[in-house]
Amino acid sequence: MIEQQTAMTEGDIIKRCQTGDREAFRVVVEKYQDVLYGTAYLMTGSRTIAEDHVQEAFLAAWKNIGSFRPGYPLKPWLVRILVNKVLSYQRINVNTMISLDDNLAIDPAGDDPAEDIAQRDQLRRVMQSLSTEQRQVVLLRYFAGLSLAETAAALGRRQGTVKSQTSRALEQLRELITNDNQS
Amino acid sequence: MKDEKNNLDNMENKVQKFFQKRAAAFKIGKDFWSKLEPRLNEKQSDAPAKRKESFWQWLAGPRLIAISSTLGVLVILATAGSLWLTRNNNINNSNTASVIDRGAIANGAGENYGVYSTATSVTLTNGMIIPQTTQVAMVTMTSPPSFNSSSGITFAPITTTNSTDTTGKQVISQASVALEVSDVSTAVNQVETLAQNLQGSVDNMSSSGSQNQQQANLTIRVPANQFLAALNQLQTMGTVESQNINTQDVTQQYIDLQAQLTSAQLEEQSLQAILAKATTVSDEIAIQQQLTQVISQVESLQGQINYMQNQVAMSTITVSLNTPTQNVGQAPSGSLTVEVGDVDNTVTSVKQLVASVNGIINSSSVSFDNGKESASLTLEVYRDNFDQVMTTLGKKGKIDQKTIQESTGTQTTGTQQSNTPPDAMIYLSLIQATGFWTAAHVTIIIAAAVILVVLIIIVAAAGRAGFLRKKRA
Repeated sequence: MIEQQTAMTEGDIIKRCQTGDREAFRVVVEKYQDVLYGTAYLMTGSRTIAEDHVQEAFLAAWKNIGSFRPGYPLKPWLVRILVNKVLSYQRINVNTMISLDDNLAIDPAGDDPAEDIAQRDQLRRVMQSLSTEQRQVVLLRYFAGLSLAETAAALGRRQGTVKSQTSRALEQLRELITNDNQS
Repeated sequence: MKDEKNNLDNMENKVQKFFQKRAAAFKIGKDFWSKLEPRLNEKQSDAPAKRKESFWQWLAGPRLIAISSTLGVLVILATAGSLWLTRNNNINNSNTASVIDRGAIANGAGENYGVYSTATSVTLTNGMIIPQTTQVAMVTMTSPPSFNSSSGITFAPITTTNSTDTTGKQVISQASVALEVSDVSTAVNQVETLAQNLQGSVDNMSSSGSQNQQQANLTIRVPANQFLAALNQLQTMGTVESQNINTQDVTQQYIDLQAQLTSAQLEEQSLQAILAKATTVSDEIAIQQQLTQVISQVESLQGQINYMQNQVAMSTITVSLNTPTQNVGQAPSGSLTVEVGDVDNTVTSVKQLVASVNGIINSSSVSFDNGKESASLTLEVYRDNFDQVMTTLGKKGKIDQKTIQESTGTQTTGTQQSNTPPDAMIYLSLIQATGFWTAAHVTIIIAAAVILVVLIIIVAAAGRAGFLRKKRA
């Protein structure tokens, strides 16, 4: 029920965005900025680059919001724009290594900074254990929350390819995740 | 397999939980919108509404192709449909056109009409059926006939052949008929019998024969009021190769002869009276000499009158009978109906054509109906000119109907080299062509031209819009 209300509300917001309502677009930005930022950061490994990518993604969304059909989920569309920006950037600036810098913004409300650091390290090990393609698939599927079809569309791959990449990634993550959950 | 799937699902759940626990760590910062909003101003106008397309941009592309194709198909269908309808109308018009032969009407109802020739069987509007014939057939009409001139039918009025009518006319009727028969001697008997049956007689008869052909000529006399009946019956005895009918009104001559006779007779009576009163021998001799001359004159006049009366009372028919020449074969014949722009000029050119090949025009008639002129001609040409003449005639206009009966056997007669008359018959009908360009045609063509111009303008404008759009990009 809550999701339906949200979807309906999102449809109205989109319509208002299409009329040039910036406040409506602000609602969209504030709702999805963190998930886009996290995705971009985990893909690029740089906070500043990730923020630039997110800005560019939202600018492109604002420019093309007129062609977006209300009633369809907005997040996959935004993630797809973001992924295109990131991949275009990476084709020019080859950077497949993730380096989670120490200035990674963390929730200031976190109670235990040590726990945060531990989690960050854990996350780094997990992501580094995957290939570039597996990393992208895992991020979009389990971090951004996209479906198999939405992930395949965002990455420009076939669903079968995405599914097999996901399976291999999960196998590799089995031990790491198991240990994490046990802790 | 099921265990693997369960394991996979478990792993997915674990990975999801793993990322959910760490998602909160990724915060972009609360000032992100303040950094983003000015860039909205820079790169975008106030209303990011849907991209507007001009009408021509909207029209360009698949829509233009669809509209153009549909209009083009409609134009083609409309033009083809009008042409098909016109052809049918022309055919229908020619099939239903009726023309009254002025010559036939002139004689009025109740007269005898000579059907000169018909290419096909024709049903007249008065119900009478004229079978296909190349002969002169006698038809008595109760009302003037109407017929389709394209059938090749030609009417020729037949003069009444009664020797005298209530006005005292003296008419001599004569006819010559040439018949092709299978056996001459049998036909001779038939002709003799015919003459006897009609209270007539055979005046003379001659016959000749060769290995290839037998021939006989008879002259029969039949009472004048049996003249037509005799001709009708003769036509049934064989194939009529030719027939000529000649009527001569000798009333005035007869009256003159009668007057001369009366005068001479009066003179004779007068001289007889004077002779009776002669007193001297010399007077008697002189009067006797005059009387002799007058009597001679009376006898001569009487003889002429008797002869004339006999000729009037008994019509003369000369019948020529011959068997087909071996290997002669049947002459070709054909009928042609042609639509022409100018009937009169075409008739003139046809006559010139026939004359140039030493042919014969047996009959020619021109008539008008509802403002349209038509003509019917019966031609006889030499067999070796037949194909050429048919082809030339066909080129004079649009052929509505054409039938050809080829000749059979080798051609030893009917050719220019054989010293026999031309015998290849051509029945030609000329019909004034209806104007092709009717108002409906003109309208359709103008509409098609307008649609094409509109299409060209649309294509040009859409192409230009597409070009400009590319230029801006």
